[in-house]
Amino acid sequence: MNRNARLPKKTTRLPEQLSPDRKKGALKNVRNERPKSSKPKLMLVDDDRRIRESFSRALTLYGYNVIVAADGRDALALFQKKKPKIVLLDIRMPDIDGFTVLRTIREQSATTQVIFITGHGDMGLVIDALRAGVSDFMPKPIQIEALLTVLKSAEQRLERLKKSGASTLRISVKEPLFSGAAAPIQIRAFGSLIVRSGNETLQEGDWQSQKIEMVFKAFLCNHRKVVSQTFIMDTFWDDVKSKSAEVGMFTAVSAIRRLLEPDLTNGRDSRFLLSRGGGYELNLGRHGEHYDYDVDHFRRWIQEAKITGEKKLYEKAVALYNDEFLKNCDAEWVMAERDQLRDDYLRALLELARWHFAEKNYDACEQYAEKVLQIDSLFETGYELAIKSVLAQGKQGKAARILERCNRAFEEELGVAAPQRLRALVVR
Amino acid sequence: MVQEETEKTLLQLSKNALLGEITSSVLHELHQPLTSIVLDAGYLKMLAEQPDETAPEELRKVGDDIENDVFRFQRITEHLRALAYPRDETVRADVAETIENCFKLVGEQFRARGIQIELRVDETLPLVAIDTIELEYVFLNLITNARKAIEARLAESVIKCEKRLTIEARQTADAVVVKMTDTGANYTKKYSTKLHSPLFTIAASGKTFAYNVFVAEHIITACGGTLEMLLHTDGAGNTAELMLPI
Repeated sequence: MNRNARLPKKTTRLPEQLSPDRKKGALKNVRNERPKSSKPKLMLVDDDRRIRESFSRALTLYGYNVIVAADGRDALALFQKKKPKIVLLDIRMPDIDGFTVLRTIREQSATTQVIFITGHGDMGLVIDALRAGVSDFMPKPIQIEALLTVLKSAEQRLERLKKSGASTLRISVKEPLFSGAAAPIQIRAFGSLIVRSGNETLQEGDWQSQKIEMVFKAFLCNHRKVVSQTFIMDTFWDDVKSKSAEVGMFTAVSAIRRLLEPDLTNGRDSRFLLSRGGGYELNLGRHGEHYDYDVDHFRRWIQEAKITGEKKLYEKAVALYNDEFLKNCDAEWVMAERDQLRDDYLRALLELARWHFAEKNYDACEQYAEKVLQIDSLFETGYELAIKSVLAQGKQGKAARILERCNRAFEEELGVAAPQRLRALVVR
Repeated sequence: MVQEETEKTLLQLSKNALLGEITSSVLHELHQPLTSIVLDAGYLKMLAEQPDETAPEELRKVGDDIENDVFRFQRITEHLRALAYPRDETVRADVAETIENCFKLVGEQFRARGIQIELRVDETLPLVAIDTIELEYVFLNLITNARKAIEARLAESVIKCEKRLTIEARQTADAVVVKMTDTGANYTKKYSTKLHSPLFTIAASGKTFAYNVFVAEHIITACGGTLEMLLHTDGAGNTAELMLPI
């Protein structure tokens, strides 16, 4: 048993579902008063008596206030009366199907965490469930540790909903409109990807799966553009059958939506990842107000600097670029973006180096020229500016060493000596 | 002789195909006791964290429950063995019990799709003169057809349609008559003659599936009964009427 599954000692109490005679014997030294449970009220709906019993005694012992229903009608009646915060719902039921129960619960409460209990081979149902706004899934058979993890994340979602003061009324925001209270999303894509939404910071590897992270990167590279479902499935799920590919895609889209908006109850209401006929569009809203993205800052500053010639803007942009765009992600569709950004970065560095040279800030010029060479060791103008700036400071030896480095790089990469023009600089 | 051998082989193949079609549902039924067992195992481990507060009776109760789950599991696997391998045949079968046994295997396929099952079975039915497993194959064949017809209609229609299988059983002078009526796509009318071929399949909304009454008809005829597919001339649905000698 892992540490998560350890019993919270103080909330341990008698399983409510047990018969009175067993209650007496079940746990010795049990106090008469019911210890106040910190766990939310939970309703379990399953038509199998034994499963209801096993679930409820384990979860009751763990501190949950468990109520049980055997079918859909029971479940809806109990939901009205007891208002459980979490509902574990078997997708299959003898009377009303799980989807109808889910829809009815959703009409009454947007915040209730409805978790479907599914069996193997329910892929088709999973898609429908995601569309219908289910909160999570739980496969059968499930171990208690895994079950507790699922419940823990449901509780976290409830907690966040409570904090954000979400009303229990159905929230329906179909347009990419924002209220000032929307949690700001922060994205850093120079270097490894870091996404921050609300209080959660996701770094590379924190995603549910690497694939989901990759799908998000694809959306990010196409911000405000529609990415077709065909592209997503062909790119990320080309090794599986189309049905599984579809499931994978829906799961990823749903996961991304919930990462961006932890309080989202219905995927279609996502304000950031919009469903667009046959595809999806990532639209994070207005930059600065609704989201903060280092690459967008970089682009805007470069753009403005080109128009105004303002060197400060180049400096700000250059400072943001601490590594290549989406480092360690070598997909084709990242490369184009990465090359473009690196070119912008190099051009900005050269602008700054030249400007500092003209201003006789030789030290700064040399630093920017060196940054150019870090990115591209065959960049002739970079060597030229570096050599000129050290020569201007009277450092002949250093100039010779830079030329030597240049010689080595050209020799290794191209099999030729450093360009004549550079050698002429040092000799002179 | 050759004809007879071929028939026999075809019957076995069709039965095997039927078994294959109920596999996913059977797996689900097996997962039910497994789910209880694994949760109980977790429960026991939790109890072990507070040994002083745990009563022996509680542990015994959990042990009993796990044993019962294992028996439940075994009943399903033994039932499957009877369906799949040669066995001692019975000369009589209880219709109500056989129907119940069928739904223990395929009930899940109906629950998963929200298909209602309505049973109108007389309580005082006499036993019928057929092996109980063979009768189960007859019912499985027809019940599975009903499920497929309902699924096909659901997939093709834009409006919400009724999902129901009604099974009626009553006694006549010298037989038990079982009537199975579904609200699925009206295949009996469309394919009235082809349904009797063991290889007949239907393609609907991107799926191709076996849909015939070969197994049921073959078994029923061999025991001196009859199977008739009643035509629904209007709207949807199919009805199979079985006459089982007593």
